[in-house]
Amino acid sequence: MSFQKRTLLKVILLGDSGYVHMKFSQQYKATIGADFVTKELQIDDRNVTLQIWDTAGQERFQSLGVAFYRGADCCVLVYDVNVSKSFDNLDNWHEEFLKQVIIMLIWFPIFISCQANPTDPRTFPFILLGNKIDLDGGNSRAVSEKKAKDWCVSKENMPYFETSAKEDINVDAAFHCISKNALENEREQDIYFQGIPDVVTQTEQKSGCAC
Amino acid sequence: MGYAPPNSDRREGVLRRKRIEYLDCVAQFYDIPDTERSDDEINMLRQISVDCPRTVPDVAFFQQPQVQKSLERILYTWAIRHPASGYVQGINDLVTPFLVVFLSEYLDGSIDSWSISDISSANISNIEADCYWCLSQLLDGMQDHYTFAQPGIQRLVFKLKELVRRIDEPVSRHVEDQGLEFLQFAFRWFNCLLIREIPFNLVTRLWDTYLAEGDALPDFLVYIFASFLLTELIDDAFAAKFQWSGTLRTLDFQELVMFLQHLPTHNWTDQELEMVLSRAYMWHSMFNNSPSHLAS
Repeated sequence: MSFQKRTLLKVILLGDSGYVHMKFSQQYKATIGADFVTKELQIDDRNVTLQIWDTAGQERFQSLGVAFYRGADCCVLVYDVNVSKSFDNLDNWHEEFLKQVIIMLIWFPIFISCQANPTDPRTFPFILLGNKIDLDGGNSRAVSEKKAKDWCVSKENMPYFETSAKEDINVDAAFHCISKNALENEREQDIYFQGIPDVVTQTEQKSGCAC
Repeated sequence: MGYAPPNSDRREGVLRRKRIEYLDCVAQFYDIPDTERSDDEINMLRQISVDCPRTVPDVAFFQQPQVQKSLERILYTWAIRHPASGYVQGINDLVTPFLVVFLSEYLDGSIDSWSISDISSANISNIEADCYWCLSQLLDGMQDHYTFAQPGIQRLVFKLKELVRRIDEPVSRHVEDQGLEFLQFAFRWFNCLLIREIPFNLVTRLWDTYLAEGDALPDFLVYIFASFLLTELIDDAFAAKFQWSGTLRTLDFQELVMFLQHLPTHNWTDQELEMVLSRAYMWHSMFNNSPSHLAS
């Protein structure tokens, strides 16, 4: 596997519905399942393409997770600095993501023997974004920067950025950071993670039709 | 569509009763202060009120605040009366075809020239009630599409994948090779019944087919969506044939997702949609009575 080819990074965006909307695309409709956007970045001398799944926030869609989390290189958690509940729910999103990754590994145990365990919260690259800092000139803020940073410290020093997707503040820096971490993580770990086989192989079709 | 009785003598009476029942529900559940709602209900109402302004945003008519309020009342009342699922995002889209059809009895011309303020509030109430009952009727046959983990949709997505494999093996294999899951694009199709994927002015034509299928709709959806994914259009003017199947096979993972999330249907007319539907009928009659055809 050449480095050239592995400049694709799969990013999962998680957060509460209605509060967070990254809006890279001109998507004004509620997200159903997940929206897909790409973003080009340059990291050192490499061109990196981020394939971002901006997942729907409504709880009912959480069970879909595994279809989108599969093969993820990193995970971006997003909350709205103006809504405390979106911050309180971060624990759920974080745990749910790790749980889904574990389910994936139970289905494909071969990867446990092939590589360092990606479910180890110390190694899987996460990042936290406190979004919508532009709202009301920052006057409607409900979660302090310190509170968010403390939470990050308790999660293996997860990097933290305060952003405004609307005003395009700090978003590039945040994605630069998570990409860098994902690439480093990849170097330390193994490249096997991207090649998770499809479930379908288990239900292989018999040829012919008996109708 | 079954919410009014076939016997025309009884129809007036039943309609009147159902409209009153809807208004009673609105009074009992919607027109109350937040202090009388549970936390879950407050959350649900908040979600609905966030989604209503985002419903069919490309059609200006739906930006009228009164239209959005009507939507909100219908959705919240439906959600309260269907606690097994509650409100699930995407159901907001499903009300809109009913709304347009019932409104068209009162408003002339194209939807772009409509103004909801031309309709009396009594008539608006009746229209809301009719939409509510139609939505209930439509979704009664698909309850498990919106309950926890949405098993109904998961099952149909699986069937869709199997059907596509039978009909167009190269596409099916290519999609698989690229690591694209059917759930990653078809989930939205089932959750919003394709409203998001075609121009809004064609949706009533699509709804005709849906309603005609009645209880058999969920199974038939699989055939419509397979036919849609493998769209084949013949352009007489250029004597050209467009096959999405051929396009799909040339795309890599990223291009596939982009293509499937922004399908080139903006210029479609009833003609293209009807081609999709007629192939769906054809495949349905070919495959549906031959279960082994699809058995894995």
